[in-house]
Amino acid sequence: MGFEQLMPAIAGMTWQDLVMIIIGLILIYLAIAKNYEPTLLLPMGFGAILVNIPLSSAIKQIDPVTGEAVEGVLNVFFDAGIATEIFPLLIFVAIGAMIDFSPLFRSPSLLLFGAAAQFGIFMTMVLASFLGYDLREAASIGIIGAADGPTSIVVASRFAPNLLGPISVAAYSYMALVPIIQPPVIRLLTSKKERLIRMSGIGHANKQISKKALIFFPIVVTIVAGIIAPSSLALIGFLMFGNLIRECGVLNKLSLSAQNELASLVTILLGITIASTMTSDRFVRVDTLLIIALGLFAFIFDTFGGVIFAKFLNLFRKEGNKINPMVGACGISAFPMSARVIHQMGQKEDPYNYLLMPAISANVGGQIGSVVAGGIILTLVPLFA
Amino acid sequence: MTPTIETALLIAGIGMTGIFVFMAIFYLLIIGLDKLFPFIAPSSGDGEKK
Repeated sequence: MGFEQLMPAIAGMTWQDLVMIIIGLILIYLAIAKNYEPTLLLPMGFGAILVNIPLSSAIKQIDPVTGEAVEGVLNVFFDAGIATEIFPLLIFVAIGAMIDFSPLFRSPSLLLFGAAAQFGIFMTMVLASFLGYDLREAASIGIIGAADGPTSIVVASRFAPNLLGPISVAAYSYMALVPIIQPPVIRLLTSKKERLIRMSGIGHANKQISKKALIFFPIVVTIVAGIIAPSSLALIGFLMFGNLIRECGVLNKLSLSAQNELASLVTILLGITIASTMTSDRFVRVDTLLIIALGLFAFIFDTFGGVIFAKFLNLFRKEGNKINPMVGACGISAFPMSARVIHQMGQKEDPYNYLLMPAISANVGGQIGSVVAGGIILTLVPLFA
Repeated sequence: MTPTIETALLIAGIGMTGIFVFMAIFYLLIIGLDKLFPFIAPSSGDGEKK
């Protein structure tokens, strides 16, 4: 009996498999040592190891009765949970149950930054198509700029399942890197004077919001979004369903379950299932590096869009009522990290400048904006592709 | 410019406009809901006795 029969996994190991195992180890290291999105990066890292050991039964198994190759557990999870969009949509229910929309009621005008800061999605889509990707792939790469993992997964799984692995890794990695990516871009685009702007004149920080308004909000948003863009309804509807569970006041137990148990269970499955697409033949390619670079481009241009939009609005606002352009950058969906980063930047410039409330409002707007952007891409791309 | 890039630019234009339209509608919804259902502070027990 030869070595290949005795140790088929070692004999079948290629350098690409080894690279993927090292990438898996790096993801686990980043999750544990650096605390970068550990809930997703750790399962993805472990999954990357699991699927890149040759003859892994997690990918393919031999039926002991018939001797035929059958799908392994991760492929079964993929077909059941990602291809059908069930996992990301369940995550949306959990996120909806976690979101408090009352900051938007206190400063509704800041909702518009949730639109401006999606600029990077579309810029990246154009750049990706310039680099030779077809429209569906370009849209899937662009959606990394939504700074919203589940939205990226839904769009990529529908339009470019072959790119799902690198897109998910890029989306979650850059979300964790918001404190490193946003500040230099903001400093480049703003003057010291602009960064010192106080926003006490905008919104009502202590305003109380009625329970009825918070209950009606997810219902009305779902109906309006559904009428205008039915394709966006799965994304927006599940998010708003989760929020209705939270706000209704009679389903506290379900709300807590959605925020904790549901979020945790689905996150475990989502992370390790995405890893099933991280096989060396799909991942160790120039494409992957390009997608990761394009993801960074998307985050930079999201920040650019939000900041420039704030500066544009300031052209029409009176002195004392101007918007601190840094708050525009919070229109991305990375919540509450982006708001926290901007607040800290503001405090660094002026320890008595409290930007947290407006930053949170813009950041909540970004959570809606990213889902709307995903819905719009799901609607538009099939019309043109 | 290839047709794919042209289409991507067109989608980018429609998409950004679409997001702003959506957010403007949501902005109006928030204003409307806030007007329709203003917060009413619960009245204190003392006030009722008077």
